[in-house]
Amino acid sequence: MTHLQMSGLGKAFGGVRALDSFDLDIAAGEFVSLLGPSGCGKTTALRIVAGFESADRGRVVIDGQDVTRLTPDRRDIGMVFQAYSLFPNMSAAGNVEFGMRLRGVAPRRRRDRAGELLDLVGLAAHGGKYPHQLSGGQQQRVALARALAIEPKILLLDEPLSALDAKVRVNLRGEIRRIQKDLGITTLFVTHDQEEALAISDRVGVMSEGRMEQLDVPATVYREPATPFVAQFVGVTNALLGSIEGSHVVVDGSRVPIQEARSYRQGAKVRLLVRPEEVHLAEADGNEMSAHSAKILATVLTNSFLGPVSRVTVRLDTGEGQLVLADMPSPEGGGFAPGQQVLVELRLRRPMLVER
Amino acid sequence: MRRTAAPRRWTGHSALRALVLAASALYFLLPLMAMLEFSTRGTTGRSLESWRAIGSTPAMLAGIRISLTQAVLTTALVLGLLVPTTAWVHLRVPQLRRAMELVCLLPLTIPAIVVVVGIADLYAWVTYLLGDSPLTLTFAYGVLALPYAFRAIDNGLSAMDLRTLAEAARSLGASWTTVLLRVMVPNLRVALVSAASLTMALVLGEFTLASLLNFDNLQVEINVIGKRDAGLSVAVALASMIFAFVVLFVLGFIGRRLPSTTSDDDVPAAVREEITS
Repeated sequence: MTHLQMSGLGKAFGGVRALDSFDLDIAAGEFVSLLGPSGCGKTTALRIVAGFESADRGRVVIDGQDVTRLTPDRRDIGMVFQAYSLFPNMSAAGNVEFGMRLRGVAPRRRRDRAGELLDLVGLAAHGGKYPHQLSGGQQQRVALARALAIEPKILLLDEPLSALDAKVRVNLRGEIRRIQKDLGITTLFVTHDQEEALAISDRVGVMSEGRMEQLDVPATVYREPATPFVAQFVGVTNALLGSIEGSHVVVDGSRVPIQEARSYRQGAKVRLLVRPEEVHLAEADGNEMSAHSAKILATVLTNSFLGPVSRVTVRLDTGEGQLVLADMPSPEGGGFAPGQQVLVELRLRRPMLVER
Repeated sequence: MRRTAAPRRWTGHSALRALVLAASALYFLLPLMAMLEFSTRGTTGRSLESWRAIGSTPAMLAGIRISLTQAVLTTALVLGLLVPTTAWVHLRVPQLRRAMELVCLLPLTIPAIVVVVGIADLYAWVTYLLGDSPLTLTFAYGVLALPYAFRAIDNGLSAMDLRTLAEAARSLGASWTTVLLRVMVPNLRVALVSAASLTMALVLGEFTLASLLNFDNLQVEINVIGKRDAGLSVAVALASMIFAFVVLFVLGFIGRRLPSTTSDDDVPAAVREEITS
């Protein structure tokens, strides 16, 4: 059942369109992330749901109620902001109690509930501390507890982890997901960090220029990007220059068989989008390459150890000498040394072409 | 070598600081001490007669009462107008900040005598509509206090992430009035106290407007009484300055007690470890 519905939302700032016929339905208890580059409209969409921006067109429905014209204080939403937003004059517990106080919750019930929520976010012992006595991570945890205290219909998270250091960020995002699942609260999360979005979301919406490019489960967004933009924005992608020749794309003199090439005109200049993990490297004199794949001679430039994989940068020896990134599993990938000649094989799962 | 050179530089620096401090203290304290000395002169030695006379001179007491009431009313008027307006400009129309600043700072550039000439006709109407109470000077003093109060409040608002705090409160169900009273005002304490004390100091020391518009207040009474009893006049002037100092000390005390913001770096490593574990 749809819990949050955004339909046909449009918003322009001056002459710039921030949202353009934007649609998004989120089911009850679902965790959806909006991912995209700066200026893609993801924060605008979230702020329209919160009521901090008004939509030029379209409507927002929360739990069956049209809230498009309601002010933020009447929307029953909880929000955690990118900037630290705790009220400096109140303790952590006071911050958590604030929303309940406005709703006339009895003092004893307020205190108990604040204690429960601070316990939930792992800060039971810090209720008496003021924001300036808490670290950034602790402040965002309190902000989460504060947002949850009013038992909102929707939880909105506006890049709440972006100001935190890497280790705290990873821990806290896991905690947010755990709490969201425990409470079953419908959540809309805005981030520009794709790893974050892919790691904790039920579905990820990738946005560009005010429009939704793709909305799907994280694995599908990564493995089967719906558009060239998604392919290039999510994860690391090689964009190899080539030209169409029948059912092949010719990359630096090597013919890569791709069925989709037939839909392009002969000789069309294209970019072939390839994930680093779809690039396989072998020593130039090896014979383990597939007979049906393209093999291109290349020279290793760098080899970076990234833990589970080694990222090898090679320069194709033919044509324009394009650079290609290949993620080779460790420890095999560690064996490629700069200067070494290798054979590049493209093992494409879902080839994607973009006309130049 | 370095170890011996550093303390020498420090000592020289300290001596210079002490010298500047002593010169400044002398510059400010000498006239006050002279006032104290003058106001305690008696016919046969030291006397507190002039100080005691403050309480037994009805005109002086009336002047004090009027000026204090004017100060309180002007402070209330200025804060009541400026806090919501400045906050609104910060939140909703930040592009108007420069224009508002210009308007608020304008009274600094206009001499009091010009203000009097400008508002004399207006005050004929004020007197006609509200009576001839010296408390009607509150409106004129409100304008005079604008530059000082605006600067303090504007700085206070600029120092906090007003938009985020307001939006956080709104998302939790707060009306704009609640945001103003429960979120902004408590976090503007220093700025408000600062604006209030500046306004009060200005009103308590104001003479030109009151005198030229024929109203009585503390400074006008000091001037009048000073012509017949210089000792009493100087005692009251000194007392009003001491009152202003007390206000400033209170301000400093409150400012020191308020929490400041810290970064993650200020949090002990053990606490950080606890967060990340």
